[in-house]
Amino acid sequence: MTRLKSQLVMNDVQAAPRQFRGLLAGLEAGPVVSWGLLEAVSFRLAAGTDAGSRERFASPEQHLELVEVPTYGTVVFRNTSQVSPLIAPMHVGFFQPGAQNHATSRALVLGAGEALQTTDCFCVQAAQGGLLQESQQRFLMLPLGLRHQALSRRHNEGYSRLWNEIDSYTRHHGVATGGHLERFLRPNFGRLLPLRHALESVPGQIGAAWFIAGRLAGIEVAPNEPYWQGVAPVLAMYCYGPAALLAEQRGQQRVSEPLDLEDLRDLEDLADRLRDVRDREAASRADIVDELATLFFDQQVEENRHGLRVTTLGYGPWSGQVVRDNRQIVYASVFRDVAAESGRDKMDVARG
Amino acid sequence: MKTASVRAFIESRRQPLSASVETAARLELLCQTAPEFCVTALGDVRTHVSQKAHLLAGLVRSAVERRQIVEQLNRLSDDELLHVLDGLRLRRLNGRRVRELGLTALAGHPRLAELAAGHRLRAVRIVKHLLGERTWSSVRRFLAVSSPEGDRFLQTRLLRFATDVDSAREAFCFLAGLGFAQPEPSRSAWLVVPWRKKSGPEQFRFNSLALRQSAAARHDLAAGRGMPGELLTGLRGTYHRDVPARNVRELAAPVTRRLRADGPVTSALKAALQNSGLTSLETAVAYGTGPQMPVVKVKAAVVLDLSGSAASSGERLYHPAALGLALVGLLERLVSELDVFQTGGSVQLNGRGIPRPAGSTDLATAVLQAARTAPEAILVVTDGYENHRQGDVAQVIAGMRRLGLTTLVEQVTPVIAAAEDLSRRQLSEEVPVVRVEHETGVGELAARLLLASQPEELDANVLPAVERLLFAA
Repeated sequence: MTRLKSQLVMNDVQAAPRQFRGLLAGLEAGPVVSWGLLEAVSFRLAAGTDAGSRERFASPEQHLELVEVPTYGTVVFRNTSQVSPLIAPMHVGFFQPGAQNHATSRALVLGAGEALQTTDCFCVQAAQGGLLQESQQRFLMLPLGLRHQALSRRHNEGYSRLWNEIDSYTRHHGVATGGHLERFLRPNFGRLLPLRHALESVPGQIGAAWFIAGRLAGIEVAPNEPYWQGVAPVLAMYCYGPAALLAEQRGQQRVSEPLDLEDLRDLEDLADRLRDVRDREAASRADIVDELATLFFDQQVEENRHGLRVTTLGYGPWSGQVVRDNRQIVYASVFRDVAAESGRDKMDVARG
Repeated sequence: MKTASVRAFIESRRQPLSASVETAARLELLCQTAPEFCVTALGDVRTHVSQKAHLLAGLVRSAVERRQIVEQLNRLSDDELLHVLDGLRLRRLNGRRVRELGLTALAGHPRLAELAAGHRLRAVRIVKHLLGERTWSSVRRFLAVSSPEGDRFLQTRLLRFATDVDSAREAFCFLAGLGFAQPEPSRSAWLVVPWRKKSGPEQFRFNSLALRQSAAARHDLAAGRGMPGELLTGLRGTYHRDVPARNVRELAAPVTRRLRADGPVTSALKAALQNSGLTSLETAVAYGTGPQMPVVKVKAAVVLDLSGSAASSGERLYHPAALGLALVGLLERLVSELDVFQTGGSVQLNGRGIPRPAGSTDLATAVLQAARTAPEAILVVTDGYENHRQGDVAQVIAGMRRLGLTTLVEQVTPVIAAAEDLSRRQLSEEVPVVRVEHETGVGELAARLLLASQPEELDANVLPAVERLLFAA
């Protein structure tokens, strides 16, 4: 018998990780992971940055409970943590008994142990539907193609006000029409599930910038690592994944620089070239993210709860919300519908 | 004998014969050059039944002893055995050796009664082919009416192959249609012989429970309660057309889904990953109870993917990580020189603690590091979710080939079912994917490594070791 000789292969660490500014101040770029047309640039706290109050927030995966749906469009949530406040992510949805398949329209702040009634939720099930038991997740997220409309209809009441958008969304994906999100999710579940496994989080990660076929589609920042670990698979599968599938259906290609294999000298040379091409690609992605983070967004303060300020952002096709604890952004979700934009781009090209 | 043809057999053995036009010719060549290897392959659970049928067809032309072949045939399930023997009929193979081989396998089968009761038509087709139409007709006649001449005939032609003559005779009576009323033919006979009497079903009383029940079910379907649904459906179609189909569902034996069971090492590792029980991989490997296998003298490298996705979810929870770790731990016992390059994981695999799946999947860097140690083969044990620039492994291997490095690289993917779709998870078209469902698959991995170290012409002394590694489990 031999003795097992093992060595841990370390990911190539960038000598000086890119530190972001503006909206993402205090964060730096980590490894880039990709699967198909979906790509995620990981965010982690920049070296030497104080985590501050970030660690005190509870994870929605563990502590966000849907208590009841007293009437259509109204949902009662509870933070089951008795010590930590909780930020319910934007556009979180529930497909489970007693929930009648609702989704929220904005980010919510819940104090420790607090039960919060929100009246501006959406019903995402126009007809009777089943449960997605296979998903094994406590919640899901509205697909990217619906989030802009969902955010614009916050603070309004009317449970069916997203049905038309869901209808045209499912139509785009070539599945049954109707204001019924599950009809889109169920037939695509087998293609969405691998995204959950493939887009792995890396140690220390608290957020990511999502690219679809090389175009930046959104940035998501969580308060801390456990929060991110719970939210990341949901974002990959339900929010950004469907947009990647649509891009694939439209024949879009992955934007990636091939490894130059001409005149290779030896394995060291091959390793160097691999490292270089990866660094270049990561740097170009980080540049795009930094450009977005430094935009002068229109900002509208929505509410102040438990010392946390929720602000809605807008700039051209970009919209989203951030939650600040004093000056520090502890939660951010800023996105654009790249699928709709690429459709518009094609029309512009056709018009000449 | 060519090393490549054994490799090709290992690559394709799980696929049906029709999957590739080359498979048939390759099996025939294998039967000629390595008949002993092919005999063992006949009893292998992982080889596709259609390939086994082709192997048998090749082996009847070889000089391998009949006893050896029958021994392997007896290891097959009823369904597989009939499929393999029916291959002789479909290939129109006859002659003394075919007849003797087929009848020894069938008449001497320890479960002949059950086989006849459950698969009568298929069994009759095979026996009719082996004996010939006229002999089978005589056999039927002599089975119906006992006489000294008839008994001698039966003994010479059929029952001498049986291990238990009385039971075999009973089973052949059942196959001959004695003991129960045959269905009326759908078309009336063109020639009617008025004095020919049909034998009455009351003449036979079967001692075998399976035959008795099968015969009774032909008279009354309810008597077949607990028999396989497939058989009852067939009987309903022939004898009881007026019985509603739902009755068959009520009467049929419940279909027991074959539960998959992990091996002891994988189970221990899964438990450890969930509850942090074990102290090291070596402790887990000590649970292994597999057969003794030869040690392979080869310098090999394993890239072990323990990234976050190896945790998987649902019924696959921790399956890729646990099975991957089990394979590496067991492989270490079978390979003389093995270097492990771990990517991802909470800690390093170094004899202290079990690494938990974590981090991203940078397989390309790991393959490069493995290649630097100049191994004879590299196994990449991964779930296939290469996410650190998807496609980099393929490019790195293309680079290695440009540098003239011909090191064998294979992707080993732990799966929970052989049918799992890995089309989007193949690292490169250059890299064959080896699906492993169970830790017993370690033998195949070792066999692949052994073959990787062999020259084009396979050393005759190596083949028995390959055989043991492949088929011992």
